[in-house]
Amino acid sequence: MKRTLLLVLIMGVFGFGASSAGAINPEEIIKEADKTRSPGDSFSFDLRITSIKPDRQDQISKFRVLVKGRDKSLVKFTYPKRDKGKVMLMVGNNLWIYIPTSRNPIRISQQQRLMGQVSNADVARSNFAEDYVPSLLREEEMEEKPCYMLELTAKSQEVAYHRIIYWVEQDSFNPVKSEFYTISGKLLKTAYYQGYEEILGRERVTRLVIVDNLRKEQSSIMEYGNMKVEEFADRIFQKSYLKHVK
Amino acid sequence: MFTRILLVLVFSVSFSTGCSALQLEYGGKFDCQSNYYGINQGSYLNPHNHILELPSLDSRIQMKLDLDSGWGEKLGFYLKDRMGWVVDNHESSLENSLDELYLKLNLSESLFLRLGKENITEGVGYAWNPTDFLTGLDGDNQGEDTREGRENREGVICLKGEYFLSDLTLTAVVAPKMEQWGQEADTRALIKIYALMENFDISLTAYAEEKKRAKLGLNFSRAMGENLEVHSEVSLQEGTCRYYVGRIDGGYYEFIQKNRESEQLYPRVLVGGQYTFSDNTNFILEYYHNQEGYNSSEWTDYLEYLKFCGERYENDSLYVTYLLIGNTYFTLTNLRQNYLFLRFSKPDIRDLFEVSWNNIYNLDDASLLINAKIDYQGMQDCSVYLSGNFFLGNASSEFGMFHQNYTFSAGVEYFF
Repeated sequence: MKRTLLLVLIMGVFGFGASSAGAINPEEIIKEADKTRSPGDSFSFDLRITSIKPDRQDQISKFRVLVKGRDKSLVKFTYPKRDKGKVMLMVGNNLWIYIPTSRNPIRISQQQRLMGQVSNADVARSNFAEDYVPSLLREEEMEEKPCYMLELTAKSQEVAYHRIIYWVEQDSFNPVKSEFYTISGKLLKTAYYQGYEEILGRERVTRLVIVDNLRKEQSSIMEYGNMKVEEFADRIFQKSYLKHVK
Repeated sequence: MFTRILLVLVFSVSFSTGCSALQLEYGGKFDCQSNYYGINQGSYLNPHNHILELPSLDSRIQMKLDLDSGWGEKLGFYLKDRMGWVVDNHESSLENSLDELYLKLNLSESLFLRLGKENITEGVGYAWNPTDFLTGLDGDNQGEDTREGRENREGVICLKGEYFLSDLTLTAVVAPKMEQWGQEADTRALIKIYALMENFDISLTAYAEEKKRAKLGLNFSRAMGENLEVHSEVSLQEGTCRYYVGRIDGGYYEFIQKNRESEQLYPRVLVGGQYTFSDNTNFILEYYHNQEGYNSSEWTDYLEYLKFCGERYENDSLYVTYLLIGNTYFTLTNLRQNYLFLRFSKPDIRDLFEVSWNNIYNLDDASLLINAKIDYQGMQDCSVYLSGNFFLGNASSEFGMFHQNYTFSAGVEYFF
């Protein structure tokens, strides 16, 4: 589920000319929505996360994210200074973190909170089409846009979210909103996809707001920038290579 | 000497390749720490603190510096240094430790070479790493082995090659004996294969050291579902060089090195796992078996030796020396054969604090080490911490006979 969110978050959204609603099936909707988030098979972007809590100073963290294919990503921590040099790697459903002081990469959980309302998986990767079985619940307006309302159910227990309710704009296939649920059916958080801009030839999301459903006054904002299509060698996405990442 | 030669090499390369192309990244921290030690007056290792004369209070200011540089993608160097000033009850001193300094040479997209002093670590365990052969523990050199220890240890001077295939990495390391550069251990070599198979991280290591038996190591880890991780490490060697106490003619004791030609197998096994809740609360549990540790009768002999010397050192200074020797073989958390480790940590408490609680339980003598730490992280580049260690057990147990009954530390770290 988080991975889903992540895909949505990370890749931004492409405006795809949709075929008519009646002709399209749920798999095609999320595949098209997935495409809108990815400028290519191999790309990178900067990510800034702001964690907002009432009566607290906002906390900011910055990352550089490298993505290859549908299941490999590398997250370099660039700010604050105490975290600089940390690297998180996700291959399939495997997730490791390299902390320079501890010398060896260690396995971590997708569920683990990275910052604020953002989990590791939200940043490292998300791929709805690969990880979820979709079904079309209905068509309805969301954020004043006509949307497909989909229910996504995890294909395996190893993904971060068991179930997602996902609203995708009918005309553009841009994600609009998603709700992330636990296996027990509890709503964990809600994500709003905002700030669509023309980047690398398509409309992409540049801002994602995640609201904690247990503590609604708390939220996190993920902002995307400096997106580039670039090739990365396979070795970069190996656990044993993490200590070489700069 | 080694440092000078390597620095000359580094700067020669820098000038020959053009300084303008140099990319330099640096980071590190200042750490200002004060420690209070509750001396264990009844310790058999250090009766009434007469043998080691340990301070009850010390303070240190330390700078840790990491310098990573490169000339393009092919060539670079890495430096890690710790320097500081330490003051205790008795004296003050300046300290410097060049932990790492090596050249990086990437011969191709897949083949990387490293030449110089490097802290090479191996293993998936948290509290112990039985497969950390090169810079870790050894049969006759069993120091405290923790993540903190692995961070702050000097590397070995070596040549390391790594070859990256798509899901496989091959590593070879040679660390020659170089007494003139302070590396007195015999020549060592290591070969490792790492692979990600069926979501298992698997590493297989073969290690050899001149004049010693070879070792084999296997470690693996895997995530099970969203929250659980399991891991294990196993090392095997034939024979041991570990010292134990033997009784010699006249009823006296002395340390004797076990026959390394023995064909007995000495395995070390670690089995553990960690569970992480969605709020990042983390539990780690590990069991560690060290066949090289003292069994019950060897432990009794070791205690008898210490007691024997403790009864005589006030009248004969020779026994002070014997007690000092006894101290060199006291290797905390590796002395006996069976241990349990439990860690609880909770980061991001109100986004300000991180607390951790670590226990190491000696299953052979029921003694216990408790460590607790609280870290205040309310400032962006700075953290303030308090920690305490408590050594619990009767006077004849490992943690009960440790030099201190408890220690407290307070410190401030500034990251740059």
